[in-house]
Formats: sequence, structure tokens, C-alpha cells
Amino acid sequence: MKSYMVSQIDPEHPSDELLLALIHQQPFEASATTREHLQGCASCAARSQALSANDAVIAELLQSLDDPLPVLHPSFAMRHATQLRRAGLIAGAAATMAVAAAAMVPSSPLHRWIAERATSAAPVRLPAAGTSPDTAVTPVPAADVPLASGIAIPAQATLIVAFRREQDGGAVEITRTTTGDVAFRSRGGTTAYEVADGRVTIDNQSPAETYLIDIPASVRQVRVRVGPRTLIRWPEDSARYTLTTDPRRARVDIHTTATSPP
Amino acid sequence: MAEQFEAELTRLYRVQFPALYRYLDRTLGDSQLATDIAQEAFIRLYDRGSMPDEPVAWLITVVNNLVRDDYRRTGRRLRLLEHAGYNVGHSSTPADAATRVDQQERREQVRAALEHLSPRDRQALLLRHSGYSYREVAVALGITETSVGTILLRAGALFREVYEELHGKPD
Repeated sequence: MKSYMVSQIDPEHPSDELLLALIHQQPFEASATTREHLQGCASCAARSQALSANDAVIAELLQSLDDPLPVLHPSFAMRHATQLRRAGLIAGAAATMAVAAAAMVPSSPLHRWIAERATSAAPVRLPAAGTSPDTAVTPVPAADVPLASGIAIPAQATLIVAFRREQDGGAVEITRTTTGDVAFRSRGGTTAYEVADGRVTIDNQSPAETYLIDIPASVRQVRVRVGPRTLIRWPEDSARYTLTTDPRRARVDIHTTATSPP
Repeated sequence: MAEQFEAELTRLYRVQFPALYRYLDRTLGDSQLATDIAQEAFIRLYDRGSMPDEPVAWLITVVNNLVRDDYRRTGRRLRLLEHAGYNVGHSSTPADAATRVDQQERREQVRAALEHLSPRDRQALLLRHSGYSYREVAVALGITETSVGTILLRAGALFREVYEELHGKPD
């Protein structure tokens, strides 16, 4: 076997441990001295390069083990873990990684974190089947209904949100944010989310009054579908109408369009 | 006071959950179990009601204990040679299928190489490459900070040597 460790040649030269710590950007007393030494010592510079290259190979190999990171809001995560613990399922939880469920837990202390982020952007009404698009943009006042925890997913260029079924009332509130994750929350009802490849399916079996969606600017295309209909097709139809901008929330700046079925 | 703790906990969760999950996912080879155990650690911290002196090391210690308890309870050994399956959203084109097979093979090779490390060396290597500092690794594993570099050099060298012996040089 060959070794990637290069033995220390001389006590005056920094050890491999010091070089590796420098590569790993770990603070240590002699870091400045070691850095200086590397500038004037070709053999140590070569050792440092070899260690750095080896470290990069190891990092790449270990990265091959990675599964996608589940992105969960703290309140949701806490609730989910509590449920699992109660059910004694920690060790044997089913591998349904992409399915996340959220429900109302207004009494949860950590829930306040989500609640604080709640926005009151002018909503787009979620029309019942057959409603004309024009009636779909009537602003509604913020409901006095507790905000449930939700989910957040990494932003991708395209976002498809699909409500599994029609519902008689309710609204979608979309806030265009500058950065961050795509975040989903709801007021009222019991909402479950399924996430896969930039598509979020909202199981609205028990309809919520309001669905709140934060969409960062990095998301270029948005489709919101309700059953077979396309409710919002952004940005293609953005000229048709614009959401009201709340002056207290300058970041709320989104154009949406309700369309007939594609 | 409680609000301050909750704020700290929330901040800690947002900063530390990804690294903790990554470490567990790499250790266990089971993303769902990794998620559950990482969340359980935060639940225990929440139940604790106050921040420990070294919260990051505390979390690592908790998850290491949970992993050990899980193995003890279930009789499950480190699933380094076992793959829990892919998660979601795979298309079924031949090219994607071939890519997945390659990825699967690579994972198994990496896990096989990791199995040759001692538990402590493996933990140190995985923790470091999950983004933890030498100090955090040292506190979590109960070793001195100065020995972390030595362990990482040894573990990294053995890991790569075994990997290349078994599978050739990485692409």
C-alpha cells in the first residue's frame, strides 16, 4: 500500500498535521508562521498541495454518499420528530423521504418562528371550478386563523405547485422574496405536502382558508395548478394583472395570472 | 429567557441541521433514519430547556449515542454495505438508470472502504468532512484538539488506500 502521508522531513518544517490544519482553515498558533514558511519552501508547498489534493479526493468520495438534504422549518421538524418519538418509530421510520405533512400547531412555542414570518401580501383567490379569472384576484383581508407550520424546499428555476383537488373557497398568497427557500404554510384546514423534483403537491383534502407561498427571485417560472386547471402561470401572463403591493412589505412584488386550462 | 432559548435553538437548528444530517446520512446510509435521529437530537435539546456549554458537540454526542442505541436495540450493524434506496423523483430513461447504477456502485465502494476504519477514526473523518471544526470534533469525541489532525491524516490515508486497493483510483 502506498501512503498519502508524507513524513516530516525536518523539525524546522511544518508537520503534515499543521499543513492539513491550514488547508482546513483551522485556527492554530503557528498558522501565520506556517503560511510564511510555505511561501519560501518549495518542498513544503508541494507537500501541502499533495495533502490538499488528497483531501479533495476524499471529500468527493464521501460526497457520493449524500442524499438530498431535507429542508424543514424548525417547528415542523420538532413536531414531526415528536410524533415519531411518541410512535416509537425513530429506528424504523419508513423511507418516505419526500413526503412531509404539516398541520396546525399554534400552541407550539417554536411555531412562533413561523408565525413571525407570516406575510399579508394581497392574495389571489383560489376560485372554484368554473369561476372566471377576473374574480380570482380579489384581495381578501388576512384571516384571523392560526398559521400552521409548513415546509421549505430549496429553490429551483421552475416551481410547480399542484393542488390535488378543487375546493370551494380559499386563497393563495404569494410573496416574492429576494432569497431563501420556497416556503409553504397554510391557515386553516389540514394540509399535507409531497415534494419531488421542484414539484409540490398540496393535498387539500381538508381545505385551508389560505395557502401562503414564499417564492425567492431565483425561481423563474411558477405554475400553480388546481386539479387539471392552471391557476397561475408566471411570468407569461404577468401583464394581465398584478398583485397589490403592500407598502409595508416592499419585497412583495409579483405578477400572477389566472388562466384557463392549458 | 425562554424566548431567548427558543431563538438560539432555532438559529442552531438552521445552522447545524444540515451538517448533522450529512454526518448521519453518511454514517448510516439511511436518509430517513438520519433525518429522524437529527431531529430527535434537537427535540432533546428543546426538552433540556437550556443551551449546553458546547451545543454543537452536545448534539454530536447525542446523535452518536442514538445511533449506538439504535444498533443495540435493533441488532443492526453499521449499514455501510447496504443502501437504503433512492428517494424521489427519478426518471426512468436509460441514461438516468445507468447513472444511478454508477452512483450506487460508487456508494458501495466508498462504504466498503469506510468499514476498514476504526469507529473513532471513521467518526472523525465523517465529522470533519461534514463541516465540523477540529475543536467540535475533539469535544464530541472526547479527544484533544491537537490529535484531530493526526487522526484525520491516518483515517484519510487508510480510507483512500483501501478504496484504491479495492476499486482502483477514483475517476
